[in-house]
Amino acid sequence: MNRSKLCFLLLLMISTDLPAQQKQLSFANDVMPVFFRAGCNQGTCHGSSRGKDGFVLSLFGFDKQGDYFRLTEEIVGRRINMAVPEESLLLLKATGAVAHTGGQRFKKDSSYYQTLLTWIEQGAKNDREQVAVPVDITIDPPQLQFDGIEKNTPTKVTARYSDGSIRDVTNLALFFSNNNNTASISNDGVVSSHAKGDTYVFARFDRFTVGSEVIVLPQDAEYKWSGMDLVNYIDELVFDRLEQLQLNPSQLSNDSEFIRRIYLDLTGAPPSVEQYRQFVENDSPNKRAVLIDELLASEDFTDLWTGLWAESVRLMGGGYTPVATDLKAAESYYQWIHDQIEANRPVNEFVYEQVTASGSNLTDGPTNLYTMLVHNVRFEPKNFAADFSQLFLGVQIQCAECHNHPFDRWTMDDYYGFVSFFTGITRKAGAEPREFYIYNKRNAPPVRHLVDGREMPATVIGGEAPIKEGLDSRIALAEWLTGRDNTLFSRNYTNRVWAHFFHRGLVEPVDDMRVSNPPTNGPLLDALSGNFVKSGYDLRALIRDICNSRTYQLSATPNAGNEADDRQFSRSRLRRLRSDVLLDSIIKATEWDRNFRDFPKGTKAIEFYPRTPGDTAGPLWRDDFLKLFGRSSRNTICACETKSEATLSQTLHMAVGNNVQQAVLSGLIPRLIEEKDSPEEIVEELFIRCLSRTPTANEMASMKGLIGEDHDQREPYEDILWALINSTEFMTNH
Amino acid sequence: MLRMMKFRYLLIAFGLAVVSAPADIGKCLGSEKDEVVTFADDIKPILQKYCLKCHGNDEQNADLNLQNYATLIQGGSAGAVVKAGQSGVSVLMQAITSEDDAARMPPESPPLPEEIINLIAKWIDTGLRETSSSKAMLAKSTLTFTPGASASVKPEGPPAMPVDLPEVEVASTSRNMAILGLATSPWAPLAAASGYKQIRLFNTDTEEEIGHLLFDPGVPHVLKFSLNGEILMSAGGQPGHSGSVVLYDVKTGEVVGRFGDELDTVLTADMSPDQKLVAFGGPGRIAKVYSTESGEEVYRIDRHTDWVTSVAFSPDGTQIATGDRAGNLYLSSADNGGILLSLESHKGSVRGLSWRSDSKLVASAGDDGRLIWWNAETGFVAMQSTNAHAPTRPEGYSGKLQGGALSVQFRKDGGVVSSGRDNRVKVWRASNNQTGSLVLDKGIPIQAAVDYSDKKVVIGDTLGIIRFWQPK
Repeated sequence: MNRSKLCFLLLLMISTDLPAQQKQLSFANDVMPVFFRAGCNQGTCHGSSRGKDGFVLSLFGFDKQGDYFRLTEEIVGRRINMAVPEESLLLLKATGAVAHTGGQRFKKDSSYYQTLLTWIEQGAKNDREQVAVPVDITIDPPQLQFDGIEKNTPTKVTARYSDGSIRDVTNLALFFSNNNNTASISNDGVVSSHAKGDTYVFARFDRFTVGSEVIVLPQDAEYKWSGMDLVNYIDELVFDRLEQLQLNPSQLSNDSEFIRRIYLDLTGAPPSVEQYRQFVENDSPNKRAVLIDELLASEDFTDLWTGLWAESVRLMGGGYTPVATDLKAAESYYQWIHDQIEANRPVNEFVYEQVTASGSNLTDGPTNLYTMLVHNVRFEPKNFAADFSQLFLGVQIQCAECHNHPFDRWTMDDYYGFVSFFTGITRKAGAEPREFYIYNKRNAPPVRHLVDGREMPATVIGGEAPIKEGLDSRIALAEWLTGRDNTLFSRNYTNRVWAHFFHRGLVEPVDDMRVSNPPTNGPLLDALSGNFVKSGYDLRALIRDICNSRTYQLSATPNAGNEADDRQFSRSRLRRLRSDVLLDSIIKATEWDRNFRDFPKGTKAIEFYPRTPGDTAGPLWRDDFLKLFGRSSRNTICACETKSEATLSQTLHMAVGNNVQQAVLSGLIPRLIEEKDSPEEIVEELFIRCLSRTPTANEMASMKGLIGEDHDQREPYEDILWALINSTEFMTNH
Repeated sequence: MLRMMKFRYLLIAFGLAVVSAPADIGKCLGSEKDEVVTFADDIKPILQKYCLKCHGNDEQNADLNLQNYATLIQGGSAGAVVKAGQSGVSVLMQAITSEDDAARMPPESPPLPEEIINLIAKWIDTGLRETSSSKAMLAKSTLTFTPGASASVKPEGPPAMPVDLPEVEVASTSRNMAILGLATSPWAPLAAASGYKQIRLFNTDTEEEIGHLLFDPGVPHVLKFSLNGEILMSAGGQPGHSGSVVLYDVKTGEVVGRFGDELDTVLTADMSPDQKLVAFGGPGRIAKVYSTESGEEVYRIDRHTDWVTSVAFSPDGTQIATGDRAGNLYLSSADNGGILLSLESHKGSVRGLSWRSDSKLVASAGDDGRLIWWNAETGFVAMQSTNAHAPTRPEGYSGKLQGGALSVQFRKDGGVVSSGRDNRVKVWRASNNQTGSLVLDKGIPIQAAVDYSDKKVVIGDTLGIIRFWQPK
């Protein structure tokens, strides 16, 4: 046989000679960051759980070993071509040299291309030993102030690794701004100012996100601090911030604005005519502080805060016994919460008792934290972990179930370690069909990590080591959760309380606290949280500080300059009343005798919770008015379940719906006609009842025109009452 | 660069001299638009701007009218000015790229911008489409052939071995190409293994590399010999770019057939025993079946939901088995692609398929680590080894492991040889008992095939090394 003559020619330009000192590139520390930076492993691209166009990468690179396999070995010779590295599909696709749904991710002359090419040329090796991992990143400068718009400042991102090394990762980080209208940040980390205001820009690298605060002020603006008395530390910190941002606070609210606001916020309804007159006619300089103390001690305050807490833990009563949310269980839990709030039980103890509660759902109220959070025949540890974290810490740890939290520092390790606290929570049937015993089974096996199947012993979020063995995991959990060192807990709670009074948390949404969602006034949240802990987790003390502050008592009327401010509390925010507060306000203003389904006469809307003969799973309202006005369906513990957006149906219902009709015709008007001497008196009383103020001269004149000569007729007064209830002034707190 | 590569292959295909691309051509890489280039959308505006004044409806210098698609294709007094797929020999291209200022079009002007020249070239090379809905004027297959009469039996006389292979220039690479495809002649001491743009031929008796065949579509992903050992089929291409199937005459190394014009590499292919059909599939999720005689597509199997990773005709020529990356495996009629049976069991990509010579059993190798022997009449599992190629667990690692059987091939005696990600090559008796195993110290055995003697196993791995192993 003739053997062919073979002629080997170098047809392709292949760079076989690498720079002599080229260090071996690391898959984890050099290659993976390129995928991250170029967006390859985003959720919309190959990071999707099903991948894209046949190629899967782990979302944001949480599974490095899996990614290595898929790149190099899943389909040998395709994505990585060891013989001719330049022809690796990875490079051809990324540079757009062949059709790529994601387009060109980077150019051939970029450092990203060079990194991938060099790594392939070096043999596309996996990291042989444990490589140093990033332990933290910083962004410089950590704060930026621009004097003028359309100016640019570069930032630098530095990563610190577990071996102590430091690396500039600016060109591997991802950047984003929380408000591109105020300041944007380019792919290269250059911040540009666009409009007056404050925001944050962020850099992400590996599993870390860091923010840099950006303040943009107009160039050569004429600004002068208007001055305002300080009542307490809240004012100090809010006004500092306002001055820094060149904003001035609005005027102090007048007495009728204040009394309406404080009654709505502390008791869930506007003041009565007597309450109104008593306050307005009082000349004492500290009458506001006195009223605040009085209301904090009132039964209505306890009812309001019991209702709010019950809503947040999804309290409801059912008739379907296997889920343990029986009517009797709901009642015993409700009553227990009520008693704690009435006694001003320290919030840490209040939570501690619920977290560690064991016993009967029918007689041991706090055990129902568990039955109410999971309305299911089976307890699901993952649900408990997600709900506990969101409710008590404001942290949405569930994002880390499938991948490291993309916008926070939490990892899958944190998630699974936290889930393991709940693997032992069990219930068993009690003496009667409705009864269940809730307890924690000791030595329940921990959950396993999704990626590598490791057992993940119970570990607190952000904790470095698991809890000690042998300790009841729920006691360890409660001690950590409500411990003085756990600022996540105190910050979450104070932020939620703040949000109640300002209709906006310092962090908003209140249950999405994360590195990339920083407070609009960090020092204030720190101070609130710190004082809350110092006071012994005293809810009423915290509220007293807030309500006595000038900040809380500012008018809603904007001044020239603070109209656009909706996050620094330079004026009171207009907010639609919560559905239940709105209904209670109508009831109180009209003396309407309204019934609530399955509840005794005299029950207030804020005390009402859904009771059903059936199953409590799924959304439940049991009252059409409350449903229409956005009450929480209690389907999840998300703060977003409570809505305050206005809708057309709401407007129509207020105008012609049966609730307002019945309220207006409740019997108040005939009584007033009977008791009062003049139409002016009746009109004034209706104004005070609904709007907590007397009518203006103009208003009075036009009302009298409506009433006419024959002032014993009901209809004109009913029309006036109807109109007052339908006014924006009535439906909002301001 | 893409355009130039394709251009070069076309020249090779037409027996012209190989020219190497200018080094700076890489600059335009990535800048070319990916969409289809058409006369209506892309070319006409260019012609309007630069050419129609002299070669339009009003004036037709050299009898050439470029204003309409039909007259452009028709050409001028000197004949056609464009030739589908061949920008290099098209007069139009020569006219606009001429170095000679006096000869270059448009006259008395600087040369057209490079991107315009590239666009026109791309239009020609991609088949002179008139509109985006028109078909490319490129033939789907450039060669067809007539199968021999004794296609499926051992031929009379000495079995086919390469004699006088043509001289070829093969690319040298910094590392060996992984052996993605490997095949052994059923009758001759001959093995073929894939290399970079080439096929490496080995004598399995002497265990020497004896020659090379060029595979100009790119990297061969799969190699198969015809049942009579006279035809070598190779399929592959350039990932994300193009793919096709090429048939070679084993003796002469001549290309005797080409099929397919895919947009991605061909991952798997097979030839029917009578050599009348060629089936292939890849990332397109469709297995296409072409007639070797007409060069036309006969039917397609489009019930796969993921990349088609394996196809195999039964030795009796009645059935075709096709497997995909999601683990779906179907038996279809080889006549028309109609479904016969769905073989459901694999949980991972079907990597290898092989029929027993009596067509009663078909064996499949899966990324789930399993080898399954299917009863081709009932579609039930006849035998299986669930951990045929189980992954080995690295110390201290408790996570999900990537295992997998990568290839399977029946021996003449009814046993099989298989390879997998566990770095092992295994031989199995007809009764599914494992009888021998070879562990590779490095490299993953992607392919393993038994040679004509039924005794020697040829192994190709990720490092591009060919091994010969004689199990006891």
